[in-house]
Amino acid sequence: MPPVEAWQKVLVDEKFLTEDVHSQPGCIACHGGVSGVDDKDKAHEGLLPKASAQANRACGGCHVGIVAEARTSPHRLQTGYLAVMSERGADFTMPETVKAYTTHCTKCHADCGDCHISRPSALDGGLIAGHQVKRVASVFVTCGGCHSARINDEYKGVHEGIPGDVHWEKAGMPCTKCHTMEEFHDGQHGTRYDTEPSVDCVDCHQEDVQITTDNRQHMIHMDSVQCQVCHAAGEYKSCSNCHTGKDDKGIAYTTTDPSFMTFKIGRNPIQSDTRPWNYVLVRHVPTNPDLWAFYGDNLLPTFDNVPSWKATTPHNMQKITPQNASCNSCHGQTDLFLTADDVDPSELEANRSVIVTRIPPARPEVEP
Amino acid sequence: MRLALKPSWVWILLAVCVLAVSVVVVQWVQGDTLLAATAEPHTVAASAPAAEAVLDSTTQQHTLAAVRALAENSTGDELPAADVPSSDNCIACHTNQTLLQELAVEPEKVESELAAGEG
Repeated sequence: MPPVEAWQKVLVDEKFLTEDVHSQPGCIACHGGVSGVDDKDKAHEGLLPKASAQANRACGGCHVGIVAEARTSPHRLQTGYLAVMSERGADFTMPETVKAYTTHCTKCHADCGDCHISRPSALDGGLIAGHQVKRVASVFVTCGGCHSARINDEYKGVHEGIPGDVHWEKAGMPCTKCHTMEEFHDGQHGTRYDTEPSVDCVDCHQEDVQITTDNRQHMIHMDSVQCQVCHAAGEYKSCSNCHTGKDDKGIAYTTTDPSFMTFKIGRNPIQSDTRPWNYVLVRHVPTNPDLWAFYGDNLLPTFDNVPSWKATTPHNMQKITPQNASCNSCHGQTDLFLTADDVDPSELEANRSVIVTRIPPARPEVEP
Repeated sequence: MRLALKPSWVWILLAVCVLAVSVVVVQWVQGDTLLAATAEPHTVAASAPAAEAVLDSTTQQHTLAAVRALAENSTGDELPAADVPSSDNCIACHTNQTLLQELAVEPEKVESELAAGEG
């Protein structure tokens, strides 16, 4: 994302003051500060730059239902992290665990203003539209600011040699075309895979997957292979080996190995009625058993409960892809599948449920 | 007929009683409404029966408890002050591009030298 000057980040548009109802309470009602003084430092005493950090106070007076629900949404509390870390044995009643989690894993959390007013904190904040409050402030700054390397770059075709997503390249569909307000605000579920898919390919592509379809490959694979396995246009980003700690000045830091591009088909670790497939795409997420070792011993005692190669839905869909060009573009192609050789020996146990032990054999070629 | 003939102080006493009862009833109704308005965010966030149905394993219940604890601890519950002072000084500066270009500074970014990699 292009950098924004410090002054641009705090310049309020006249439109906000004249046309936006959110300006009516006055700046100090939400942000605090001192009235009637011109000196910058004095005026900013007691200032709360991110007013929606106190969501009830800033937004809840009018938006009662949404604020109440969004208090426990994945975007605000990162419930996905909490759920996965809990499964890996994190005990959130232990001070060491809470310290590690809140120091390193909640940086991306988003309050109301992070999506509706400002650039996300991950981009160092700043007003997007002169403080006007928008339903969608900016799809690619707001969504892409946080979901950058692993969604935004795939979707827009940033990775060299790999096309972007057909839904963007041909249809220009913004994120909110598929992902709805309810999905962003819904509270209290764990990861996004703990509930039914909020958006499904077949919601729009129903005709393509009907029993009567002429598409033989869909007939054969629809219930056994996730759509992305055939239609992801190419490699997508994986990360590995995250460590956390504090340096000798007490400044928190995170280290990860350089990210790398992968295309790996794994077994489906989250098989259910709504995700019935045997095979899904997987990518390595930035984790390891020693993730929080700086803060205490064995803080993730059941790390192996969750694969570090995680089921994923790359956002680089295309109709024709290298792996669906013919049967044997996929069948018999060992390199496309996640085998034990692809997995770090220390993570073999964690990934038992996704490692493919028998590669689907090559087949006699048939007309697609 | 006999009541109508009572001295005027009886009527005054009756009027005072009616007034008192009215005041009590109005206050009770208002109080109940305010209580409902302030309690709603907590009630909705804390119940969510659909989420309970999904979170059935011990681990997930543990997670839910952690989520609730964080939610309760990290949100200010105060309502906006009724009497907010003027924001004229804020507006005068934050709509003045020239002044902001002169005064606005990027907060110093504190980053450890040990940090490495993305994210």
